[in-house]
Formats: sequence, structure tokens, C-alpha cells
Amino acid sequence: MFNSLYKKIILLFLFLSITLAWSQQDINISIQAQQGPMTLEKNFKLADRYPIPSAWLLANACAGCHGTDGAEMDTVIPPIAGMDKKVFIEMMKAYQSEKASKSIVMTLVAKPLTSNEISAMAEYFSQIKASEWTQKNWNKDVKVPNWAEEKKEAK
Amino acid sequence: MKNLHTIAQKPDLSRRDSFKSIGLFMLALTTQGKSAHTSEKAMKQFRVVIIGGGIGGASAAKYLRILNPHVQITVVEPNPEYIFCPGSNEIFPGWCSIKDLTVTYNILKQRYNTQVIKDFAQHIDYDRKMLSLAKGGTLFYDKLIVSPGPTFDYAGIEGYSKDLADTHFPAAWHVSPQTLLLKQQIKSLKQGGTLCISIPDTPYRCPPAPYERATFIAHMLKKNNPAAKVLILDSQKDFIFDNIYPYYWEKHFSFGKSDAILERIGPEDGGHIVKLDASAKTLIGQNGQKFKGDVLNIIPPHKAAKFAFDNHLVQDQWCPVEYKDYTSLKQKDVYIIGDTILGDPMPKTGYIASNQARVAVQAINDELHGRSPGTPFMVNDCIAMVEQGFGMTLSEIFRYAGKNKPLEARHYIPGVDKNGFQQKMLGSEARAWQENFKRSVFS
Ligand SMILES: Cc1cc2nc3c(=O)[nH]c(=O)nc-3n(C[C@H](O)[C@H](O)[C@H](O)COP(=O)(O)OP(=O)(O)OC[C@H]3O[C@@H](n4cnc5c(N)ncnc54)[C@H](O)[C@@H]3O)c2cc1C
Repeated sequence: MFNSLYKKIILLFLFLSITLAWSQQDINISIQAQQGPMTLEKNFKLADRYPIPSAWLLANACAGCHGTDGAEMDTVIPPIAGMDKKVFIEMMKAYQSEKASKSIVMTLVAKPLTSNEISAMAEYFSQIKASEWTQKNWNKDVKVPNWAEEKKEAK
Repeated sequence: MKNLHTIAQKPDLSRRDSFKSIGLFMLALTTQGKSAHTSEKAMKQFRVVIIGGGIGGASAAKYLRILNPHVQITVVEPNPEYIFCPGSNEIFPGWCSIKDLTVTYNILKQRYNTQVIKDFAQHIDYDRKMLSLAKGGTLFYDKLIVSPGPTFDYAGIEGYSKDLADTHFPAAWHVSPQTLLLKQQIKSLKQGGTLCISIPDTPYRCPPAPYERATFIAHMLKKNNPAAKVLILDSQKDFIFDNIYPYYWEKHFSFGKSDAILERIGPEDGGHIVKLDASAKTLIGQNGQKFKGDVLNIIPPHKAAKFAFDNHLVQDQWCPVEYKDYTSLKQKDVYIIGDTILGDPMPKTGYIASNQARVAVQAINDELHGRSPGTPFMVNDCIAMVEQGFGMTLSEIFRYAGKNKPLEARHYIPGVDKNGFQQKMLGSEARAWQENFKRSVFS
């Protein structure tokens, strides 16, 4: 049951990100993008010259935003853990081709990935359980050092 | 196309001593002559010691444990908690508190079975593979991971010192009492006063953060002290997000006009600060230009950690490493990550530090399993807030380009759309990023 709900959420997210982004494509861009210095071609050449990075490393390069193994489930940044392989690949291809949007974060992130890298990540994430990595109340016992106790500000 | 994080000196990567074979020999010794794949029993004896429980060090501990349930992991860190710098500029306008940015080491200890020792690492005896701690303890290691962050070189600006930073002219470049001193100074800035922020030469930690800070402070002044001014004194000619910030500043702070709330002086006009005249509250630029301020926020130049200098891990100002696995080019069985390494063209960010940590611990784990380390993969993504409800983003990728060569960098910063939809969305994602990033390292 959870699984099908999860799939629905993912599909909804895909639908939303594509439609929302499509609706604002190229509208009144007032500042141009910046990119470089390595070209995309050179990026792909370098990627092909060396063995593919491990799926674990590729997948956890996403951890900074999506959480460990892509399993942060409760913020506006959607999770990836447990995502269906095909859905993952389709989404990444949509981002790469700018069909989704020119400027949402995932477009930038997806662009320089090779299709082998994308497949490896898809395989990896599809095998991870779609459950929250972070334990409840994980940081509830935190104390700030004495100097950092901020006084209530007078209104 | 310009390089995003240009660095003054180019790396002089001297050939690394060829100790790979010695490394394998040592491994063979620790595994008592068993096959290349270390036995479970030997792994349980295998000691990984990590210096620094910041973003790099904590990531190393957590992700090494995820990869390997057996090895012994010890983190040496003097503080009982860690306070994140990402998000810390929001302390000034009060959008977040220090508590929001603070994490404990409890999860690292309990969930990831890591020993955390509250002490300073002091001296490495490379022959005996022994680390001495400030309080007198010692630790033996098989592999050492070093992530102590940078040193702030207060003396790099003539007339400036840590003492002056603690009492009068805060740097506030990590969250410390200086942060609250600066907050106090912003709030009590006299009407129509000037607040200077001086930015050192690259590399310094988090390239966009000074501009973020200047922008947040300008918002505060616009509300409570509209005749006052933020003056950015910049050592950089080009700066990160310089396609977006000036556009935003023009719209909100009359940037470029005579009544600007925020101004920027580049190095061509004396913005590269070399000296402080403390009694006159004046910053002095390279060619003698003087900038008087009521509040001076001086970000000093950076260099490698004192610990790294003391233990011969530094060349020039930074620690040189092999980018395939982050092993030191100077000492064996030592991995160095985070802000203290040369790293160029990688910027000194937490996102990068945690990715470097994963490359290093994967290499250690692969070696234990008799595999050669795979190709590293390095990403730096930044979703930053210009104000609440206006975000921007940057993505960078760094490709391995061969032994003893710097990585190759490619970045992408999208533009701004006029209807503001994109910026709104990124604004809320920036918040979520801060929380998720904290969790990716400490939860
Ligand atoms: C204002 C500001 C905003 C920032 N915003 C972002 C952001 O949005 N995104 C981002 O990715 N990065 C950001 N950063 C950068 C980020 O904080 C650093 O790049 C990151 O903390 C580097 O990790 P590190 O492990 O090298 O150092 P640190 O996180 O500083 O950790 C070093 C640790 O080592 C300990 N230590 C030092 N010496 C010793 C010793 N001898 N023995 C034992 N322990 C020792 C210290 O106590 C410290 O806990 C920001 C920085 C600043 C200043």
C-alpha cells in the first residue's frame, strides 16, 4: 500500500515539476545563465576515459540534498530512495533535455551525467527501501554552548 | 570562460612518493599475511582515526561505518557539539538561531558505533603510526583521516589579530562568540553609519558567503537604519553569482547609485585590504586607499590548519593530495579532506568536504577488500538564499583528469526569470537543503 502511494507521489512530483517548469520556460529571462570552463563534451570525454565511479558514490553525491541514500522523505526536496528504475531514468533524461525546465536544480545536476552513470544510480536507488533514513528526535537532545545562549530580544 | 574559483598560485603537484606498494605491504602485515581481502577478524582490529568532527570528519565516520561494519572508528574533536556554518549568516537578521545549526555527536556514537574523543590532536609519529592528543593520550592508527578545517590567518592583514577579532573587529567566519559580537554591532550601528566587510583572496571557505552576508545585513539596515551603508571591500575581480547579486542589489539597495545601501569596491579600486588601522577604525587597501567604518567585519585570508603545518602535511599554504583517494602527497596512510587541502579548482564548501570524505572512506574500504579505488565523483551543489523567498542555485561537477592532475571543473548558474517563480521555489528549497544537508552528515 505504501509502495503504491509512494509511486503516486513520485508521479505527481514528476508531473508537477514538468508542467510548472514548462509554464515558465524562457519567459522573460532577465539574467542569462553562466557556465564553464569545462565544456559538456570534454566532461563526457573524461567520464569515458576512466572506469565509472561506484554506484554508491554516485548515489550519495546526491546525499547533500536528498539525504543519505536519497532517503530524506519529509521536505520539499523529494526523496529518491526506492524510486522505480524507469521513472528515475525518464526523469533524468527529461531534466537533461531541458524538457523539464532550464533552471530547476535538477536540470543543472543531471546535465553532465553519462547515461551509464544514470543507469547505475537508477539501479542503486531502486534497491533502497523507501523509508526515512533519519531517526525521529535525532537531534532533540542538542545543547548549545553557554556563549551561544541568545537572550530573548526585546520587541 | 573564467574559472569559478580562481586561485592565485597554481598547484605545484610534486610527484607522489611511490608508496602504494609499501601501503599494500603494510596492509598485508596488519592482515597477518592473509589474502588481499582482509578477514573479518583483521578488520575488527583495523583502526581508522579521524581528526576533526566537522563536516568532513563526521561524514568520514558516518559513511565509513555505512560501508564497513567491522573497523574501529575514532573521531578526535575538542568541542562537545558541532555548529554548522551553512545557514549561519541567517543568525544576523534572526531568521535562524545558533541552536538551529547545532548538532550533537550522539548519533555518530550510537548509530554509527564511533568513538568520539573530546580532545585536540597534536602530533603524529608517522613511524609508529601514533597520534598524540593535547591532554596526553595517544592513539594508534592504521589509517588517519585529517579534516581540521582551515586556519584563519589574522596576521595576514597587518595590524589585525585574533584578539582584535574577538573584541572589536569580528571575522565571524565560523560560528563563535565573534558571530554574536558582529550581530550586536550591526544592531547598534549608529544611524547613517558604515559597515565594512572585507573579503580576502581566494581560496577562502564558501566563496558566496560574504556576498550573502552583505545582502542579509543590507536588508536589516534598509529596515532599521536606511541611511547606513554596507561597503564590500573585495579582493576578487569577478565573484561567484556575479550574474545575480548585482541585479538584485540594484533592485533593492540602489546599487551603483549615490544613495546605495550596499556598495562594492573591487581590487582595482583598492578593495583588496592589506592593513588595519585599529585606532582609526580604518581599513587600508593595496595602494594605500583608506576605508573608514563604524563596524569592520574582516574576513582574514585562510591557510591550512595549524595541525597540518605542525605535522608536515603542507606545501606552501595548503595540503596537497592525490584526488583519486585524497591520500596525502607528503605522508603515507594519511588522507586529508575538507577546507584544509589545496583542492583547486574545488571550492572550500561543506558539500565538497562531505563528498571528499566519501571518496576517501570508499578508498580505505576498497583497499581492505583488495579492490583498487574506483574513479572519484565530485559534485558541489549550492541552493542559496538572497532573502527569504528569493533563492538561487549553482551546480558544479569535478571530473578526475589523471594522476597528479587537478580535477576538471564545470559549473552552471541559471539566470533569473522576471516573474520570480523560480526564485520563490529555490528560496524554499534553500531552507530544506540546510536541514537535509545537516542530516546527511549527522543523522
Ligand atoms: C558563513 C559561512 C557559510 C557557509 N555556507 C555554506 C553552504 O551554504 N554550503 C556549504 O556547502 N558550505 C558552506 N560553508 C563552508 C563549510 O562550512 C566548510 O566548507 C566546511 O565546514 C568544511 O568542513 P571541514 O571538515 O573542512 O571543516 P570544519 O567543518 O570546520 O570542521 C573542522 C573541525 O575540526 C576540529 N579541529 C580543528 N583542529 C583540530 C585538532 N587539532 N584536533 C581535533 N579537532 C580539530 C574543529 O573543532 C572542527 O570541528 C560556509 C562557511 C561559512 C563561513
